[in-house]
Amino acid sequence: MPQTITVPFPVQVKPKFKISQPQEKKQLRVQLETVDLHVYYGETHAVKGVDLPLYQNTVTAFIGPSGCGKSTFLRCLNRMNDTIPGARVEGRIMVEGIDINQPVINTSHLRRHIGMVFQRPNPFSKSIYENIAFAPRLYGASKKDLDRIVEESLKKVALWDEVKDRLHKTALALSGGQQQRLCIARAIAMNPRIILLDEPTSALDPISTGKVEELVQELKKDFTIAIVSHNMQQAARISDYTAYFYMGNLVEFGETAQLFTNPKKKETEDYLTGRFG
Amino acid sequence: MNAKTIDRIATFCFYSIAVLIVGILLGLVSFILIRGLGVIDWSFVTEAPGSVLTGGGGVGPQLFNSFYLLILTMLITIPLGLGGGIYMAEYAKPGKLTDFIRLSIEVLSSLPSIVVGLFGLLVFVQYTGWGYSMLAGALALTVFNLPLMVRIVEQSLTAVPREQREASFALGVTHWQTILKILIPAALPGIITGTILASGRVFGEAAALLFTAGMTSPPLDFTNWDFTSPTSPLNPFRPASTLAVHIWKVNAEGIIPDAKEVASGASALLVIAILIFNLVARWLGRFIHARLTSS
Amino acid sequence: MEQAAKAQGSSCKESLSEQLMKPMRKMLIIEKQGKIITLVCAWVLIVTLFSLLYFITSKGISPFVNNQITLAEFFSFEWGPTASAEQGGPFYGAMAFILGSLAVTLGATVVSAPLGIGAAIFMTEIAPDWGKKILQPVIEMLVGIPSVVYGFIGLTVIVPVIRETAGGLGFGLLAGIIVLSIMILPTIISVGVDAIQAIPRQIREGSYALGATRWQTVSRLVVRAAIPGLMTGVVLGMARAFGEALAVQMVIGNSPNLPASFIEPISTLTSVITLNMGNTVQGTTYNNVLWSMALILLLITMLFIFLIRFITRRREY
Repeated sequence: MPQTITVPFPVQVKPKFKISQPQEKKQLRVQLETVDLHVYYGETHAVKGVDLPLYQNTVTAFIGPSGCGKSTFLRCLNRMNDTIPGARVEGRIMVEGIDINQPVINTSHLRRHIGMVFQRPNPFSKSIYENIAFAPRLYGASKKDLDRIVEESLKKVALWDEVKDRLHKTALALSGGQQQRLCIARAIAMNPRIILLDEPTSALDPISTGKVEELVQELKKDFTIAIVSHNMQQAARISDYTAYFYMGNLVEFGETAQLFTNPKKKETEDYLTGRFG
Repeated sequence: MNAKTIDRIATFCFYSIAVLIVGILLGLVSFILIRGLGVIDWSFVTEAPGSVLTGGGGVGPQLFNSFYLLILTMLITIPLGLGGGIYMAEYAKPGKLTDFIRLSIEVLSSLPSIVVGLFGLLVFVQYTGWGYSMLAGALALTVFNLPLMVRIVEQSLTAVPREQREASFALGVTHWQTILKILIPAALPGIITGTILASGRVFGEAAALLFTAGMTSPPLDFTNWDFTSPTSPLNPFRPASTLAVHIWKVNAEGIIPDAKEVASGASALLVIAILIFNLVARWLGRFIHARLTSS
Repeated sequence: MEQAAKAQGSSCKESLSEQLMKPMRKMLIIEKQGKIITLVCAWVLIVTLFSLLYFITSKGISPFVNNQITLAEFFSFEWGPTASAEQGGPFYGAMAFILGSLAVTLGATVVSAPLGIGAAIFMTEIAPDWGKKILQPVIEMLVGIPSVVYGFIGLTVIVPVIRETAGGLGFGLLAGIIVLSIMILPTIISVGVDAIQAIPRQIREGSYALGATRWQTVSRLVVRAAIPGLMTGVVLGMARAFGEALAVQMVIGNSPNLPASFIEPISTLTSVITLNMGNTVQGTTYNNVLWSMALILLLITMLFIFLIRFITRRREY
């Protein structure tokens, strides 16, 4: 029998940091929590014992200099590191009471609940419709459901009006920003609980970036979002919580407003003020 | 002589080589076409060869055999090649087995085709008891076409951007479904172009067929569609000489009076067919690529 | 929120943990099946190669194992499989054919290697633009032309030309060399182009920046750096020339002589096999000796392949 570690569910935690925004609830549910998470690529120790919660319906940004382990950490959360030969993930990733970092976990189901959007827009070389309908169809959605899923997903990412007349044309003809929003639509079509965004705007122009940022704000009403960002301003603009990574360690985690204005750690302050990194 | 002069002489030499090679090809192709097109007419393409004594007739059955043999070979090669290519691109881990498969691909694709033909004679003709037959020919052609096919599929699959694979995995789609539904469609233009070019090679092959499909063609009745009948053109167990084998045979035997004419006509047909394969392969590859990437 | 739940059908009633812990047996079976099917396809290659090696080897060594002939007889120069006992026969010496094969191969390589490497340099260093646009399709066409067509052209063009200019029958070593050198040219060129293109740009730019001429750069830097790749192309071409059967058979005259002069008719391993395999009775010494020649052909081809592996392996460090 595989060992399952169970924790009381749902985990109710008091926020460790004062939430400044008035619309925030006093008590936040933890959607996902990592416990002492380590990642090794062969000999390299890429993530060194990270404990980090993602709160439901919030945006958490991961920042830090490149190579600090933030993307690697993000890729653990839906077991995408499984697809990299030689990668080893140790520690617990608790989602609604179960540790998803165990071999017995059905990664296929898991990734439907924890969606992911990548750095470079990567639509399939299929039609716009097929890009979104592809995965739901494999899980048995009917034609009628598919039509509705495609429309709803595209509306949620504000792409519907732009593409509704050419749903069956190839997705590769869309602009970079449109492609990235399509990729987000593709992820939310599975109705995940969590969406992981890995530097989703780094390949986009400023206008498209703005649209994606707006979208992220919109989406947090329905989903829990974790976003890796190269851009500190972006992290400050769109996130509720921020985690600062350096050399594989989680240096500081806290409410965005507090972390950016009044960091507890010297290293964080140095990074934010541009003294290095 | 200073460096500048030497450089000029060298450049001149390189240009001469390039012109020579282009000249050789133009010479070859125009020779074949000019000699051959005079011979080719409707009856040459459709009729069976005349008797050994009188000559005349055409290469109809040979032309048909060439295409039929190509189809048979591809029916065997394509599924096996897809499977092998998928394995090499998606599952093979660095190690002894993979090295071994790679060595096999390398050796099989550079074996002399006459040796492959002899292997076919031993195994597919004698051991199976089929005698000289199309199926034995198709299997022999598979022996050296399969490694080519595996390589084409593997290269086309590994050329699919990593992002496509990741996107599919991130949606919870399993590896096998990703291969079938995402990777193969994305690799299709490369696979199709490669397959058609490989077909050209199969179409012109002769040495591997001499002792497998045989050098003769029985009288065929093109109205007979019964697979088992010995006079049916579709019977895979009948011997069959292809266009390329026929060219060799009429020249080597030198018995029929119009050997040169028959060989010119048949050579022209062969070269035209291969030109068409080449053009179609390029055009189709580009066409599918355009269909996939533009609106 | 409910859209995917509907899409997922029955699973919507289960809790997340139940769903995630649900063993993916059916999925795993399909995954396994896929992997096994493709693995079997890959194994077909290995099985084919080994059965080929096994069958050709066992047939090839049979005349020696069955004491029909000795190795010394096989590697002698005397060929007369139909010679009667009074004449001291039959003789099964294949040495003349082995040497014939080697002679056409070497001859074709000597002609083709400089031309091929020159063309490769032309396409990459001298005129990449129209070199690619014109030579590339030309090379692809040359590869595509079937070997019997080359043989036929040799027979109708090259042989008569040799007959008129050099005398003799026209059939012979020279005709074979010319036909083969055209046939192996594309191999040498395309592998050579890949090898030269793999050389980093900086090497060239550094040399030009020092004021070296193009020829100096090409001959001293580019060619030297690309030697393993160029060699690979040449050896691949040799392997192709050595194993070519029909085109050679059609033009070399097929007489069991030693290659003494360029215009005399000779035989090669492939031509002897091609001409006699169909006309000899299975199990006879004559027929078995042909299989031994096929084995020699196979072994020397393997030698070429391992030579290539050796050359390319050395390139890695």
